[in-house]
Amino acid sequence: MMGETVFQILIVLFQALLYATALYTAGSLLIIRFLPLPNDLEKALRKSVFSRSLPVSLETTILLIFLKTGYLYDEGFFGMFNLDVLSVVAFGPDGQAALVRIIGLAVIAGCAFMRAPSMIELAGVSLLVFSFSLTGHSTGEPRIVLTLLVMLHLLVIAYWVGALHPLLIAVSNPARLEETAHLAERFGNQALFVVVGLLTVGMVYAAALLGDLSALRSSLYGQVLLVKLALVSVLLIFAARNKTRIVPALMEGDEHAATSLARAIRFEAVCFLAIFLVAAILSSILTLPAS
Amino acid sequence: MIKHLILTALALGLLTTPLLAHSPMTESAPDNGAVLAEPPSEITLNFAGPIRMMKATLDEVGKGGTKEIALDIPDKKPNTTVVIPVKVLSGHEYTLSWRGMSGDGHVMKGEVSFSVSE
Repeated sequence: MMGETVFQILIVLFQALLYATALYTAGSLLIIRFLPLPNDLEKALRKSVFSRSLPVSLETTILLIFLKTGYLYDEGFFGMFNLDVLSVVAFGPDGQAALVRIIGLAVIAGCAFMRAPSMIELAGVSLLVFSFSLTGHSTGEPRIVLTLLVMLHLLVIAYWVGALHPLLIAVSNPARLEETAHLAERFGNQALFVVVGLLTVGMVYAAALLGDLSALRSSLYGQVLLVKLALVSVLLIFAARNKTRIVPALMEGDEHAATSLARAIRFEAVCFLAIFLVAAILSSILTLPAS
Repeated sequence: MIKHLILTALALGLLTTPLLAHSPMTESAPDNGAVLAEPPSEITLNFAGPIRMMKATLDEVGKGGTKEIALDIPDKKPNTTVVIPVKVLSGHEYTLSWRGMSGDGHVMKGEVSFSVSE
């Protein structure tokens, strides 16, 4: 029988997978629009989005509705299919978020098939990101401010996540060292704004949720949030090293720098996965300390 | 641009206030740990925000052993006060376990224990 703990673990794992695939999807399309990329990299990224991350986002969104139903009803595996409880979840905040997310993914997929203008594709990306503000802690008051904070926070993370794959493809090809150096430099210049935005929005959002910074140490929610902040700090150290040392070396044609950059990108990807896992614990299981 | 971003974020920060932790239970009747002289006919749970109560069970401990009683929830709409009818006996100890969904979609759960004197 599937107990409560099994449901909690599955919800956290699939929520983390949803963050990873949805933000990869959103971020890749943002990078294509705003970095921008050489044609072959754009093609590879779009292929990865439409064959992997977008379908997995869709499937995970639907699966999470059933897992949430099972967790709420607490009657084992078959509890996931209790129509009474399923309808409550489907018509509640989780169902609304899932609907908006599915519409966002459909708009993105539709744009690819119909060759629609990129503005419509960006509207799909916005819907996808907006869907995450419809559940959990961001639904409190002041709602508009928290929604904007969540959207900004996720957009900057998505942009960073979206840059990793094309940079890794580019840096893995020794023949395009110079092109990679310029791409990495361009992203590095944008990343300055991304990092400042990520930190500012993240701290304001955390302060808004906790209300009191002492709750960071005194509550389990705050302690897990500190783990997330520690992981973000590691990411920032890597970003600073890339910008100040590796990319300048790459600009000078240093092939060893390419190897270092590839290693750093892989490590950043692992860091992001860990952050998504911690974020899933914060948003799915833990409750905020009472105010 | 960075200056504008920081100023905007700080302005947003000033507008924000601490949030309620989902919809925590604020009080119950009977109280948790209460020893009652008479068996109650219902249990009332009050929450800080609306909650959809989905499931409630009552564990009964008496001389004859322990049994779990599934309870009917008359109203599953979002409410800040949930009233659950119960049939309890004198000389027994009870633990009510409940599960519901708060307004932000989180699964909420809790327990209330009480006993009824002989």
